[in-house]
Amino acid sequence: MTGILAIETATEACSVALFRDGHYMQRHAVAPRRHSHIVFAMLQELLPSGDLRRHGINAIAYGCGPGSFTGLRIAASAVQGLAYASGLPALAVSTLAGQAQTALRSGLVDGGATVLSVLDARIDEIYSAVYTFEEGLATLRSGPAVCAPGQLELPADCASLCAVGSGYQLLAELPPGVRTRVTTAAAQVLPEARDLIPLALAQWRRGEQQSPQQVQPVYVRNDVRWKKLAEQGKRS
Amino acid sequence: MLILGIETSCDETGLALYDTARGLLAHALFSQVDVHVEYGGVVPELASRDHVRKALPLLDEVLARAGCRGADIDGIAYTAGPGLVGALMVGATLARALAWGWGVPVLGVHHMEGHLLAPMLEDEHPEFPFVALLVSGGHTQLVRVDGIGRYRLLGESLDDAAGEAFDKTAKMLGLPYPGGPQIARLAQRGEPGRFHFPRPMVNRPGLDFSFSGLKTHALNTVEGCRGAGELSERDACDIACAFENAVVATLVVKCRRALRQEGLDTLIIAGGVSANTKLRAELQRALVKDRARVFYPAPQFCTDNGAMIAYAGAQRLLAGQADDGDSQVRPRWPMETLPPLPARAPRGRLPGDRRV
Repeated sequence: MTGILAIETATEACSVALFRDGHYMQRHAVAPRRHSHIVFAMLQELLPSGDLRRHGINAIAYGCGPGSFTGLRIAASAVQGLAYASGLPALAVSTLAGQAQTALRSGLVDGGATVLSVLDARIDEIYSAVYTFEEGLATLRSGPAVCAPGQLELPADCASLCAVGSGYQLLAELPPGVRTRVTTAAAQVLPEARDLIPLALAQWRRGEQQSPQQVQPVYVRNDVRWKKLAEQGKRS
Repeated sequence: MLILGIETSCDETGLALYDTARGLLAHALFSQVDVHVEYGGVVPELASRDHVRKALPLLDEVLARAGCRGADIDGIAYTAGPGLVGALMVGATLARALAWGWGVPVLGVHHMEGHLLAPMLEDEHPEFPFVALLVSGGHTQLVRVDGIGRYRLLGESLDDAAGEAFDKTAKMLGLPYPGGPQIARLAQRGEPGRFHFPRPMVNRPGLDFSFSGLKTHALNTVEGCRGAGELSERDACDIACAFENAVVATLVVKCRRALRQEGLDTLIIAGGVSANTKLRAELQRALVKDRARVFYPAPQFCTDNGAMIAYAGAQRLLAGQADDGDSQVRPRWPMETLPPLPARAPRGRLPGDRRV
């Protein structure tokens, strides 16, 4: 039986989950700007320190993003260190897929839904991706992308979508043609580490493992909006 | 005791392995200068992103060079501050996770304590007590050092750090970041007498510094020379020379004053600006007269590096210190608040250690 440790710190929520012998255990807290501190406290509650293989762990899953840049780096650095020290592979799971999975487990959407998973990306933009569920697992249909809500484009074949996640508050600014297709919404969902695990197990079975060195955040927003010397002193 | 040091406080990713019996076994550094040069300074977000990319490859490198395995490591030291919060967080999180997996103690080290102790990595190293001049892009401080953790701030810059003044003046002269080496290069070809820059605060008592006025003076001189046209290379060289002379003279005056005030005969200088050859030469010349000695780190340990963090952390870990569950990175962290080590704490270094 595969044992998975999972870490999700991309949003204001921080969670660490353990799947072992078919059972889930999780610590979860909404604790903005305290992730680096509490992620180890949560780990401590779930496992003794030392080689994770001795505690039945086969791989470490992490929410790779998109999300808060600092949050993504906390998960990536923690997983790099844990995987390196224990000689374990890692499994990168999209935070937006994890969030769709959290919504499904919480009963906020049903298994037949098409989900628009959205996160507030600050500076009036959203991170978004569209998922459907196949055998209960969030499966990517389009995205992930970062854009102003007014620029959001959806696959033409998605007639009705459920929007989930903190980016929902910005959806009032959606283009009218898109807004009419969003039928239900659950803004209160935050991605949880335990919901990365079903997706991670599927990746494990497909052999989609990473070495510790390959563990990296998926920022999606790669333009950091810092002016180069040639642009400095000019009006933007 | 084999200690891994991790430094990620700004734009250099540095890792090192220090053995308390054998000395420094290996160190590796990735400098992000090429990333930030396009922006004329450090972009914190880009620095953090690079640390996440580079830290593990550097760990592989130091382990291979030292001929060690990860499981041989007995403790981990990382820079917990001061520095850029996002950058610090990468090193701190990686260090804690590695320590968790290996089941070894981990300790957050003060970046400036690392710089301060960097001369201890040398075969010929100073004995306590001494005066330290910490001079970099972020700091200009004179500190009395009576032992590890026994620090008293004697004076510091009231505005810009010396290295920051170098960077900003370099930018005015159209030179790339980082400015220190560029100014020094130009200054060699400059005519010393043509411009005279003020020596800020040397005629006032005390050991504080101020470099922002010097920067303004540089700006006015640049604009005066430029007039309607472009700044000539000759002008740039002469301005660089006058600026460097003013900074060096100011630092030398304050260092001599600090040694006299404290009744000490040993000075160490550390931090990026301590690599400046003019500063080294002038200090050497001045201190010979005063019958005092000056110590420096090796050039590769003047700027940020993992070796100094491994060394400083090793001293504290040997003395039984380690992070508790509440440890957090500290972008601002007064060095005087560090806990002192007992005077007889083991120094953990034997003659004839392996050099890198």
